[in-house]
Amino acid sequence: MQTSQPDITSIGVPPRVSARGPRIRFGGHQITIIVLIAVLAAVVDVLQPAYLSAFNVDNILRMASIYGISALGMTLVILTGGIDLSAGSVMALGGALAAGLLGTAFSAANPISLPAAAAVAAALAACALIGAFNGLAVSRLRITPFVVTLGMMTVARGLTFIFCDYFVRSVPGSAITFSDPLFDWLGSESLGPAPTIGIIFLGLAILLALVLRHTHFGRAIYAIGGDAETARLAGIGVAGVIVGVYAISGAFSALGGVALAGRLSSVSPQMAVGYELEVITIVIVGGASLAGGRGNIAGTVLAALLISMVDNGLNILNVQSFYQYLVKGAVLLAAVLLDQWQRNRGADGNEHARRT
Amino acid sequence: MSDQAHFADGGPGRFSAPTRLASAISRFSEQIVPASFLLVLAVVLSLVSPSFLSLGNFLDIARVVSIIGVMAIGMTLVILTGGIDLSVGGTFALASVVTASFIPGAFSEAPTSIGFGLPVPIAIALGLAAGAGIGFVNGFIVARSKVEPFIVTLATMTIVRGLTYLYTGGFPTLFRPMPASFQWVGQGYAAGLPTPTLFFAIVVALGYWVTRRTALGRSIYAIGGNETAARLSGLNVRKVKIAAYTFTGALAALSGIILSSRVGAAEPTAGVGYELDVIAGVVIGGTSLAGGRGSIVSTVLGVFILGTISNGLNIVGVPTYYQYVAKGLLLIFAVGLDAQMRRTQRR
Repeated sequence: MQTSQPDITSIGVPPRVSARGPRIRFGGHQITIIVLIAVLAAVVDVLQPAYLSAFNVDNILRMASIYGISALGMTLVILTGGIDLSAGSVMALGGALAAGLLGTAFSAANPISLPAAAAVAAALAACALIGAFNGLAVSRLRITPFVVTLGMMTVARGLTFIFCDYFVRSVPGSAITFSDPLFDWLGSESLGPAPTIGIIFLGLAILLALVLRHTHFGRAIYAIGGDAETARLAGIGVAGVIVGVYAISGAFSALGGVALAGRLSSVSPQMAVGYELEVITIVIVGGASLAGGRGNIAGTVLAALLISMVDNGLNILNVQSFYQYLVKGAVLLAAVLLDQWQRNRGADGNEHARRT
Repeated sequence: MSDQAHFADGGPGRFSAPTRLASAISRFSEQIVPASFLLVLAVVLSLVSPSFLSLGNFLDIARVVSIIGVMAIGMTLVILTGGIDLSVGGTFALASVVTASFIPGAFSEAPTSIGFGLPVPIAIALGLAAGAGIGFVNGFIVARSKVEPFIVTLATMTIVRGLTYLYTGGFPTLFRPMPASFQWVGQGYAAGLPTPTLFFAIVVALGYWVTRRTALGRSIYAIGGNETAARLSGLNVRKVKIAAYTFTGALAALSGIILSSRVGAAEPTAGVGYELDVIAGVVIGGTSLAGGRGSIVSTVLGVFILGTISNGLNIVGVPTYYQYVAKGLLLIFAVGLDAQMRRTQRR
């Protein structure tokens, strides 16, 4: 939240930027995460051999992809120096809209029925619109992203309840229970050896990494996160980029929600409460800075895997849920402190002098 | 330039009479937008529903906002330093279960429950100390490391929630019966006011005094305005930050204790998501998340705006789900309006 001091020293568009943008460095931070993943896998697997069974790995990959897709959008938002607290609610809204528009829910009113692809597309479009609204409020009205998306978090949750009731017309707050081949394909089937949603996650990640590195839009995202005013003076259409970034975040969260709906074959209006914090955790553990301008897709992808492995490992080891809170909090704190320490030690003089 | 108005009013004696008047006006100029918003809201609601304009309803609003309000005063200090504290909801729950467990007559299904009672003031002091301790840890990590306060307190929020579950075994603490003195904390009346409101008023006065009249308060503004400048001017930035977070932790604890007395139970699940309500109250009053700009008075207006919106939506009979939508949009609208007015003023 240190927006008062634009962090010029650590932006991703330092002078070394060539026309092609900064290299996607597979640097120290990613290697740390990979090491952590390996250690975690080894330790938990010794304690509980089922951890690395095909079934459980499939489980881990699916959850990593669902959180991860939302985290990809969040990465872009955080790179611009923003934050999207509406991600969890938008996940629920996306899932509810897509499932409800199918019109095949069990014991429900089903006032509308669309083909599955159209239903999903409509849900993604609606959530992209919500994201675009966030972006407009941030860039045009100049409201702090935290406040805009906090408001939108409540709005989207309210809309989710309203739509669920509209589709189901039963006891208020009822879940949409359904079954659909497209949703099954997304949520529980595989494409070759890997879960479908995992392939989609990876595809989107590569796409975004290329966009960030090679397109004007991607360069602008880093520039805005470094210093929005400088970016504006340099002729970047800041408002358009911001709107685009939040719209992508909305659409991606919705896609995560659709996959979650497919996995559960049901959408409760209470789905994904608090997921925004999990998603933000992933992006931060992945090495992004909330001040903007620093972070990358590779880090987010690895962190999504790491966080899902921690969640899953705690469950498979039968750690009492009360202790899980302690472990997860400690892991987050340890990750950021470790990152901080690594960067200080990296003799990065400017970075160090900034706020000692 | 409003930042300078804050600094200028530190020594009223130095000003001539007209300057003092100008400074008095500029001191409250920040509150004009939220105050008018609250006024318009009240007028509209009283036109829509006559039952809005009653002493009973006002006291009701005042009592309901007190719980969030007490925390919001602490949060204001933290946000003024440029920080944020997401752990207040967790602290709220932990302090309420700690205090409740030591109250004579406390009862819980948990195998770990404590079998003896302490005098009520000591039990309350233990809860407050737990809250202050969590706040201290937050402040210490934020001040010592360069990790963003958002992340630090996100982590402690999870950890504190876990501690609360471990302490209670997940069971609520009930009272049979609740001692009268503890009952007074949340359900009593003093000087014609419900006790939660009285506590809120005291905390507001304390917060106002700290921000306006003490070196600590001035340092909080200075750090939020420009941390590097504050440090180079010789302010002990770390100490001030630790103080702000500790104060917030203690106030979150106080709020949790008041609520557990009010509802006659301490739930380990209490306060989930309160941090966002508290932050919403602070920013809707016009305090900037970037730090350095805002005030206690703004926060009081902010929590009353939120409370009045909730109360009004209920009185008018808006269904719960539509209330979510309306509340979210009003939050964005109110803060957007404030930002817009500020920009036109500056021009």
